[in-house]
Amino acid sequence: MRERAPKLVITFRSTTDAMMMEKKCPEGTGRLIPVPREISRGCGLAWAAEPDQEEYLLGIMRENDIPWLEKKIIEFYDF
Amino acid sequence: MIQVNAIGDACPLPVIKVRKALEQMTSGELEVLVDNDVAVQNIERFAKSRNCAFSYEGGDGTYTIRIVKPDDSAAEDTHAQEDVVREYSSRAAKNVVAIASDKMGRGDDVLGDILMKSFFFTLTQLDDLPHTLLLYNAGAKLSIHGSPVLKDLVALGEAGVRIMTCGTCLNHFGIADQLAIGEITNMYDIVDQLRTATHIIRP
Repeated sequence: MRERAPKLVITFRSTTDAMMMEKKCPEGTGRLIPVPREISRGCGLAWAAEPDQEEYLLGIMRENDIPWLEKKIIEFYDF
Repeated sequence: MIQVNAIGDACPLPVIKVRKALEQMTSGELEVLVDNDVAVQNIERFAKSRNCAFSYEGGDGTYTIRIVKPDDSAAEDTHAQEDVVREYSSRAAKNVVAIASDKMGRGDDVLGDILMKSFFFTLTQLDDLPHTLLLYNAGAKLSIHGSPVLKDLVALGEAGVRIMTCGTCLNHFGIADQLAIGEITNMYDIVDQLRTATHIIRP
């Protein structure tokens, strides 16, 4: 039985920023996903992670000068 | 004479009812009531695949079908019968995802990798998961250890999606010993899966 769980979703101004996020984040700290419909109808990539990793991820973005656009908690089938 | 009432039954139930009734008869006449033209056509194909005589009368929502099963029906083509029933049954929902490459689209390979990862993630988020996932040509590289989409494939497999990777393709790339999820398949099964699919999704 698949279950939904809340995840933190962070969006970016460009796919380049999203791809940089994937490069800078260690394994186990999230993954690239398509921007969910709840946030945007447009194309784009977002970073999805466990909600309790927010501060850690914000630190990575500050250190690497990766600007983020929006943060939101959204439920997904667990991944 | 045996009677089957399939009024109000959605496809493929009328064909299944007819099959069960005919299986219980050694020979003789079967009368079937249905309420739509599609059911009449489906039952006609099925009856003829079993060498039975077929006729019907009626219209406007009420059809009476007469099927006569001959004495020598032991010689019927059981393969054809099973194919017809399986074909109707599978129409309920059998979405097959055919992955022919390890990248999604052409133009930029880095982007193609990212799009493919996004595609697999989105598959895992569907409420109605596909029935089968076929991986062939460079798509076979996605079901091996170290694949960037392996975690999603495992999730899909655990949720009941059948994952089938082309054995010829695994051999071609020298990665047959690295398969991490699902089963190895051949062209006969690939064609059969595509042939019986309700929809084929190809990224």
